[in-house]
Amino acid sequence: MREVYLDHAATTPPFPEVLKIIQESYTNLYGNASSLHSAGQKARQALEKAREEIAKTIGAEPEEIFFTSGGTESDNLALFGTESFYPLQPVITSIIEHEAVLETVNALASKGHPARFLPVNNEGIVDLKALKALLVEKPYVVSVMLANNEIGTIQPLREIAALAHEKGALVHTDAVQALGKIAVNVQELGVDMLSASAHKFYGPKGIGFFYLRKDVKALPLFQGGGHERGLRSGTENVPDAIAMALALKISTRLFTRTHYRYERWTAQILKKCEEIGDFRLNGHPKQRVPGLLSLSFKYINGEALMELLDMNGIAVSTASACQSHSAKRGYSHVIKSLGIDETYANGTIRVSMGVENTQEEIDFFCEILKKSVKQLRNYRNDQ
Amino acid sequence: MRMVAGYEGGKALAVIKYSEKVLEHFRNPKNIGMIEDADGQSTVGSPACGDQVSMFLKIREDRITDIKFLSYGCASNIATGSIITEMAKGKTLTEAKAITWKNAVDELGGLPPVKIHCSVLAIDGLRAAIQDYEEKTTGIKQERKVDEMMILDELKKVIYPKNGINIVDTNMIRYLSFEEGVITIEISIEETDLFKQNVLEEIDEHLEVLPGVRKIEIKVVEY
Repeated sequence: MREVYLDHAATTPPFPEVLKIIQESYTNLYGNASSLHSAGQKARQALEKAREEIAKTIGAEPEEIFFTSGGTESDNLALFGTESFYPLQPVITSIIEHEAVLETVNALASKGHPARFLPVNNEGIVDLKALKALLVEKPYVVSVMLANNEIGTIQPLREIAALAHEKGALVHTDAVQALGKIAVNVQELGVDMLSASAHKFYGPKGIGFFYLRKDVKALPLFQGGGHERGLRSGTENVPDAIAMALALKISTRLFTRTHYRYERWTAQILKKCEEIGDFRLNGHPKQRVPGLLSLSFKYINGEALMELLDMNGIAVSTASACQSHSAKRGYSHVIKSLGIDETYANGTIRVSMGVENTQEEIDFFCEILKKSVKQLRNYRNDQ
Repeated sequence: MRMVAGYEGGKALAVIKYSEKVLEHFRNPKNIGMIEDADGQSTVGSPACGDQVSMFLKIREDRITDIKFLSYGCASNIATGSIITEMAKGKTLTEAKAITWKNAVDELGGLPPVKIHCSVLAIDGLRAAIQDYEEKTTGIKQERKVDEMMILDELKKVIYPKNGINIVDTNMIRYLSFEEGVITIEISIEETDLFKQNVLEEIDEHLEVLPGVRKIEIKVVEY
């Protein structure tokens, strides 16, 4: 059966160049980057080159980049690594963050940092008025994601950072869904900390990085040999770091070209949805990551639609707004926060395109989508 | 939701894989539709949560001559609806009422444990439709009899202390049957789980009060 992968917001297939360089580095750069002999120093040199490349791409200095295991660890490092310098000061985040931030904020609350959650409007944009009001409480950090993983909405980070800095708060952004998809520059955004994960931009899984502005203090999450200038102990994962730098370089170079393609496909899919009828596109119509569509179909069970598409070889993901699904797969606090009518919200799927998708695949997806929605609506009982 | 090590009953997440027969009944469900002049009908579940089933029966001389269903549910829900309508067609009401969730799952070649709820709902729909017919013809309101759905609803009141979520949604219930007054449950929980005893006792407390339950057999399983 033909396989059409349209779930790139979950993870991406690595670029062939990435796979090649991983194998090469494991072959030629197996030395421990902390060893003083030449095998070690060869690995160290390659690791530092990867760090420089990443720093350059996001407008940072090399010493501001720390290799981590990915987005979750970076988010934890940002919020937990800084908290002890600001005892009992509140932490502000948005209600549509990834669990890596939400649960970290909840954990901080139990350490005495009052947790504050910014609401979003029905397009998924953070409420800046609420932010202004909450900043009066002198939070130590404001953490808002750059692009949302379920609806793709891009947040006004520059405005958020300016407001937060006025009140002396640190600014962290989870940029996991933005890197490799849109231009990300820490200077322009004005953020103090940023989290990234390689597997979202066609790099390997289990590696990411953390940007920490030079003059910001942070403590490590765990103790050890003092690698990464004391902030992240553990033998450096040189092959994956090199592969991540390469993946970021390629995906950043590619995205102007893919954007055009994604916009065209988006228009095509939305036109098909018009034909299908009774649907809505969630999130902001324009301020969004290209190629990520959250679609809700009225009177459709999103899980059934996902399953039916899967049987046709098409991979998308689903989200449900039902509270009782909270322990199951698919419950979405994001979709729920948008205040969408329940008859739509439960029929939500996320389609996220990637560089390897073809016109033919999108045509096939459109055809199967229409057939599947029609089929499931025939099964339904609450017309 | 706070997650703690040992979430999901301390087990690795189950892989969701459907049998060929489930896939076939999902893709091409039998008996989809409605019967305008149904003799008995029911709607169970909640559309707000995405799982709802309606059943329609035509009955001649205590025998189901035609049966149709509509579903607003996932693959397991639709497949179970399809298989039980096939199983019930042509059967007497007594025979149809005796169809259990286990019969349906066996017929389907198994279902992933996470899908118990969606599937039991379809069985509940069939029984409710038969009850609707019986109440209409006899004019006597029936007490709801204990069935898998009711047992599942009771089990949903048992909270797993490690994550604050009930044991059904935590995906700890791996098997369930109710035959001749005996409830059999398989629960997936580590032998070393601190809360094991609490959970088992609480299950007993919730189920022993159900009418017609003679015995409760709880098996602790390792998968």
